[in-house]
Amino acid sequence: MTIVAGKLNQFKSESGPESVVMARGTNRGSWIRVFNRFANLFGTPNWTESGGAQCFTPRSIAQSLTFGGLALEWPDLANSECILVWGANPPATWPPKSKKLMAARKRGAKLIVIDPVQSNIAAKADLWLPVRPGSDAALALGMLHVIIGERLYDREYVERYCVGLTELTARVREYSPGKVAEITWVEERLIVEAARLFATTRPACIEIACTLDEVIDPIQLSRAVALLACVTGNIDVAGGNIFPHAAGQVSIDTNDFILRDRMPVELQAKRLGADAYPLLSKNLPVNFPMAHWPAILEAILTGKPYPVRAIFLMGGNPALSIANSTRAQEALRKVEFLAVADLFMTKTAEMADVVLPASSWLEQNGLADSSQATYGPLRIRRKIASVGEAVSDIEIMARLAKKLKLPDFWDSEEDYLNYIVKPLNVTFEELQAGGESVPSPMIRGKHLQEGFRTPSRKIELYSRRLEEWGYDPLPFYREPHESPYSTPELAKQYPFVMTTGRRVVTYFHTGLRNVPALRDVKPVPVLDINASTARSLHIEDGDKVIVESPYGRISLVARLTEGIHPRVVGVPHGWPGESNDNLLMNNEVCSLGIGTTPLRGTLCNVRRAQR
Amino acid sequence: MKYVMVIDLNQCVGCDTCTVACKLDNQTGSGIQWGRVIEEESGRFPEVKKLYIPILCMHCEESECLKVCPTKATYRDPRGLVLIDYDKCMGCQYCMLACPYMARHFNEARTPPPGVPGGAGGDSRKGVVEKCDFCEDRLSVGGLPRCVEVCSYDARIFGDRDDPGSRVAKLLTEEKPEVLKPEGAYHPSVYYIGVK
Repeated sequence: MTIVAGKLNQFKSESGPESVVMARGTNRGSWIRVFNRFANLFGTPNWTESGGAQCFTPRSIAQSLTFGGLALEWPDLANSECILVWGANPPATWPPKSKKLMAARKRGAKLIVIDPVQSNIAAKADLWLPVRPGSDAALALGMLHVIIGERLYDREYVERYCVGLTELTARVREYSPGKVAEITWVEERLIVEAARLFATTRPACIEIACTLDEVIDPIQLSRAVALLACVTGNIDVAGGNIFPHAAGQVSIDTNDFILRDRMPVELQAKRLGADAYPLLSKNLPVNFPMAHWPAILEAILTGKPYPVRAIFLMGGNPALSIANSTRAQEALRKVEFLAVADLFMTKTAEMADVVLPASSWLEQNGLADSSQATYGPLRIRRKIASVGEAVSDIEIMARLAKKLKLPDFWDSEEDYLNYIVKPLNVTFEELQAGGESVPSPMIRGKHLQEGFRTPSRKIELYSRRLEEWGYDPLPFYREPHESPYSTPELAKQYPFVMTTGRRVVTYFHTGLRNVPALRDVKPVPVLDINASTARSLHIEDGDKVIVESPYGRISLVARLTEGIHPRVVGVPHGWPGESNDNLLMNNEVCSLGIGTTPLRGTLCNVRRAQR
Repeated sequence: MKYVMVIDLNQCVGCDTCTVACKLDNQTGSGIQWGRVIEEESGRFPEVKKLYIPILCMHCEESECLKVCPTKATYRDPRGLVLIDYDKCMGCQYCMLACPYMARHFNEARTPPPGVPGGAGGDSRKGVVEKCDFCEDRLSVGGLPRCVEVCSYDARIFGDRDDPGSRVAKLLTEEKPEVLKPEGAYHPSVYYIGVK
């Protein structure tokens, strides 16, 4: 701790706070903004997370613009009659939601699944639409075309609560099911049937995932999918998509919590990536602006626009988890000082100067709320184990804050937990003594009565704010930057459309391959490939295959399946070494304004490895 | 008394929680899964159906494994379970050839996975054949098999077929679940809803 604090302060005084990057992977719980506050107090504008541009930020912006809150994250599954799962695979991505979804299905709710691969949940669907990776926005617009064109939308709801139907109607006219079928490789009949089923079965809800974030126009895709719920009158109603709330806790998404205003404006302007990606890196519209990873790598490797000398990483494995791993690892090796807090000796931790042992959730007291799909109650977690010297991330930050002499930070994990439950007028210990959860009903219909948190106080099918910022106010589709249609010459050499970033049950991102009981169940990195296609390439089930993109090549094991289009392959993510999918990814082409690396729908070739 | 398990394939999503829980609870070694979930596809893209089918020892009434065991290590217990006395097993593996469900595993005591206490099933199972025992130690103290306990989807229902008030008894009457490989007439104790 003394070494880490000493180094961070040294670089801060020698090269300015911006020379220190504070980064993390993804995390959960009532403390997910604590690291933002820590970074703001230290004074570096270069706080970031591997997920940021790849997960959550684009779709949260889209949702905020459209209906002023995160309704797409909260399908009211228990009360729904029709569930549209878009690019999510809840058994692998979000088990508590999955349980509710399967219970709804058992009582008769319809299930529509959009996924290039016949996932766990797609196998249960009434309708499975195997969309070409990266073309999802066209599919959503095609479904809107049917719903609006056939007048299946909720006219009363749209009139009372939405603005922009006329403009949206004009836009979706361009996306006839026939044309969309050609773009997306989904049969026309299925597009029409799915649109009709979703629009005519009430109430209906939508479950999404980071798929929506990982395309070339992520905000537009999220908006297109969100509008399906809007025009059918399914926002803020029972059984539709509702708004989460964190009862009993101090709000962690406010400036009072994050303290982003403490940072001088001239420092904020130095945030790496801020010029190119204002939606990710400037204060508006996100509450937790972050630096852009490719810009950080550039700064480390070239010293431009200024040198980055140190990285303090709390959970996360950027050596594997960000696009173009070769470059990422080069930068992590080059940076003068790297400190990592993690549970395990990850690839990134191996490169670190200092590794701080972080504890797992079982070794921490904490809270889980509706933002973690408890659907209402605040759940109280009790520490049940303690291993070695490991302490929670908050505790690590608290101890480091003392050494760095940062003001306004909590003294300890306990101090933080007492702070966060203040609205309940108890200490965390008293709360734990009182039981496992604090009940709190989900709130529905509040915004229908009081107005939505948007400029017009209505649901904005047409987004004036996007227009003011210089983006298209209506969702649209354009071909991915590389695809069989946008780069036909490249597609001759790399004829397969690839999807990656999918979760595999038993693993989470780059984590958990080192747990024997899990590795035993999923021992190898598996490429999903259409059985007929594979055989034409002399690839049999279980064969080792090479997947090549214009940027790199990796080695995987083929799994032959009929549950995927003959020209699409599913590449697993998070595997280390020669199976790391991020070796296939280019991090130079990023989405407009927000800097997302498109992971869904790029091109590759597949061949059998030498036997 | 006759313990049976009914597995609802409509509810199984292939999350492998049962597979992992079984491994941890029974301390099985690397490559050995007493319970596992297989995928079965039918049809051609895009008209393809996929089933996730949990497989475990079927605790058959006509047990081929029991018939071929030369040392009587495999035996039937009064609750209808087919069990192995690991002290009597000499590891000849005839039972593995006989089992129509490939539910038995030879413990070669390869490297125990690091971090697993006891490794490879502990010393008692080194060099012998092992398999699912319906978690008979749990049953003995009024519990359920671990795979049943951890299933989030109510895909596994366990109980006494001879108790008319039990859920399994009702399901056997009302849902007419099927068994795998009925042509063999092994009379397994594991039934499946939704095989189609």
